[in-house]
Amino acid sequence: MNQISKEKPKENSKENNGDGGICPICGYFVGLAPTCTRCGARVEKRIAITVARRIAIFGSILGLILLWYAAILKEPEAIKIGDISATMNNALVEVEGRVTSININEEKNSLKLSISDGTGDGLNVNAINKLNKFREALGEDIPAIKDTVRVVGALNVSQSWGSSMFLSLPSRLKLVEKYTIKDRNIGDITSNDEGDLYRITVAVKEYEKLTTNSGYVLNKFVLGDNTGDIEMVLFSTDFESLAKEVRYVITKPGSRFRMLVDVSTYRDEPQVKISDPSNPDNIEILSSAGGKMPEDIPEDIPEDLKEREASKLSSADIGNAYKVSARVKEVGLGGEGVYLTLDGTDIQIFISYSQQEKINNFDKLNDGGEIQAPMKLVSSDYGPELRLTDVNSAVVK
Amino acid sequence: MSSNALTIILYVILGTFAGSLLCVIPALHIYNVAGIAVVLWMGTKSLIPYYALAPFFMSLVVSFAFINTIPMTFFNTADESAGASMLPSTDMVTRGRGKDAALLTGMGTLAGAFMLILLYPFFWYIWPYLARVTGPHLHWLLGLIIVHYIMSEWPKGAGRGPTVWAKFRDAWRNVFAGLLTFTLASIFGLIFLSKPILPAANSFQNIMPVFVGFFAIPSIIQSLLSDYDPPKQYDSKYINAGWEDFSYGLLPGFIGGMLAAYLPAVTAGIGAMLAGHTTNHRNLERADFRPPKEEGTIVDLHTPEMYYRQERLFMIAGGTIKILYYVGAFLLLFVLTELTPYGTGRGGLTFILKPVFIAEPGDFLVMASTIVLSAGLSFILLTYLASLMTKILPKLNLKFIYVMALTMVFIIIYTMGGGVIGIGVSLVTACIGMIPVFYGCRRSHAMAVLLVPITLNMAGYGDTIINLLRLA
Repeated sequence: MNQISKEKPKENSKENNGDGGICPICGYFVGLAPTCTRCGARVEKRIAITVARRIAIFGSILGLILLWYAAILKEPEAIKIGDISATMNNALVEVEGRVTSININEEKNSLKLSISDGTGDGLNVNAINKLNKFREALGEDIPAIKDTVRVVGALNVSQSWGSSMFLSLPSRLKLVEKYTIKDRNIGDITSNDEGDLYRITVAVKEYEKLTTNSGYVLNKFVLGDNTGDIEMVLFSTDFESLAKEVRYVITKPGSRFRMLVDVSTYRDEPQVKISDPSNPDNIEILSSAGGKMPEDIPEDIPEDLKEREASKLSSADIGNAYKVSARVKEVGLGGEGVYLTLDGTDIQIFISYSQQEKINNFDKLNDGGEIQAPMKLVSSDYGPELRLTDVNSAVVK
Repeated sequence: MSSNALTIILYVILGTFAGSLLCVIPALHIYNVAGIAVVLWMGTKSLIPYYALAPFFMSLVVSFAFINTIPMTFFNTADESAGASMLPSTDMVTRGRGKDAALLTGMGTLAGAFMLILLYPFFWYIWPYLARVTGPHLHWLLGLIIVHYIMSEWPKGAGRGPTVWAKFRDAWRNVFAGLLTFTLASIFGLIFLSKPILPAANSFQNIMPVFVGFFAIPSIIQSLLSDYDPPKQYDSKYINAGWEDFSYGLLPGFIGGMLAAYLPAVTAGIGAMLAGHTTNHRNLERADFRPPKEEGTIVDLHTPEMYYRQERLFMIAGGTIKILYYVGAFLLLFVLTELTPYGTGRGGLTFILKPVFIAEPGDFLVMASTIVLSAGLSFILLTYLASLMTKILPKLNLKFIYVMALTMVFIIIYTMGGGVIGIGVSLVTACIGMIPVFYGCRRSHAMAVLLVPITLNMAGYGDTIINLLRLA
């Protein structure tokens, strides 16, 4: 009668490997059978646990060394912005494109670039709390608008924020081509210059303030020099971003300016727009046709502007301006700024990055803060939208 | 009832059954399934209406929290939540009580599902403040967890052996194994997260081969090498616990589950270890030798009732921790308050869905209802599946199942996780993941792959590490 062995089989011993016809697991006598008829264990050619242990230790150390070497050799994939998809979330990639906007926040020590390679909506590249490191490392090579740069970073694709990239190291931002801003005569600007940046010296020949059917205010200018004329349109948000004195002088035909402008086209005709109107370096008053700026520039907003809660605004109010106070329910990124959704309504306010810098405590809006400002209700493709009519009067609680 | 509501219910039922069916397969994690489902959905958006997308994925995860107990208990295949309920369940299976183990864990999971609903006021009025207050301190909180986690391994061996070297080895083997696993996993994580080597196209799943290697592959290899042969299982008609056990078990379940749901890189296994001290009563009443009860025996080893209770509490708490970790972490995405305007959702599903889904106010109640419906269905399925397993387990060719599971896992990695490079990555992590298996330390030491890099990045040392490793 077969009996279960009372002795514990010794690992790696001959007995354990099935010699003697004894099952290495249960000790049953199996004779020449390759598999134990009692417990089903393999009797011969078993892999010793010690071998598996050694494989685990050496495999993991060797594997780590290989992984490290592979990571050093790995060149991040170069992609086009238009090719970014949801499945590329978290990918380390390289993107080359032109800087379309720069936002520097000294207080938060952050650098935000928007870059475009002509294939998608553009990509926001964020170096949070690293501005000083980038300045120190890049020096003169810190990118400016229109520069061509190559960035390597981890993509962050989200339904809430769109596509963005985290930039962790200065060495992962390379300046490929420095854009040189040239002076240009108006007569030499053509639709082929679309997307370029020029410095022009012009006089304001005509100024007209228009209100669209949806309530937007447009400031339309005709600028000229001795070589020709060109149209410039500033939306109210851009116009409000200009310095107070510039706002006064630029509406007086005959005033002369030196300004940095972006070239765009409208119905195949070239147009210009002041580049980053909030930057005082981008526009200089050469002469004023309206004389010296008075102490109190008359504001567009009447002093007796009625106060109105955001929740009480309706589509009947489109085109009207009010002093609106509202609690912010949600802050979302979009374009060159953020959209604030107001509590109890579907109405949104768009506040550009340049406007944000002029509003004290703007960061507190993330905390469900309250905003009070003169605003005008306008219609957009996505429903009613509020526009700040005077950024400087905006108050955040 | 609106047609939208009916559609959501339909997709919740579909998600529950699909999840339950797939979760029975050993080593197949629901996040692998979710990744495939997201890719399919992006290709054919008409498959699931957008408003039913989150409920569908939620029901997949709920069913996983329940039904994953089957392969973990009966097939001995662990995932990263293994520490929450694994060891006692393995022990119970070897005593023919696999169904007991599965139902105890399942009851803990069901209690956790109801807890998630009852905690609505906590989530809405207290949790945002906790998240807000702890948010800036997470790096050092995680640092403390790392220190406690490593020290808790210290030393377990009894130091027995015929020679000094043998005694030393017995006493320190698991400590060194734990330290080695932790160190290797940390280095791997620092390299891999600083400069991922997998192709960009499927990088939303780039952590999948890593986890499959750390947990799934070693479990299968262990089962294959150990000739895992479970004995006949008893088909009990009762759940092996009294109501009072739940009152004891749910507190550690809540603590461990919420830690795992909120803290980055803290999984259910680590949460269970941190909360497990509340169920550790061994110092209150020790086992002792008493006069023999049976004729012919020399001594009776008396096991206090406390030990059996501890086993039950561990299983119940483990089940609760699992659902709070998998489901609660996703549910927190929908707690949209003024303090947490984007929710505090964490975990694999939040990461997978982030590029295609945005939580909106009002979704929380839909998701809470989804949890109740899916949890009820999943628990019923669990009871039937556990009974079925008691009948078919002895007849199953487990080796064939393990080999098939291993093959399937490699196919998924090849197609979704970076092809040959993904397989190479999973083999490296499999080697690291086998150290705990062969040298006897906690498997969740492998979670250092995320814990250490996340902690260092949060503390502001991410750049220094990249430069140190020459990965800039």
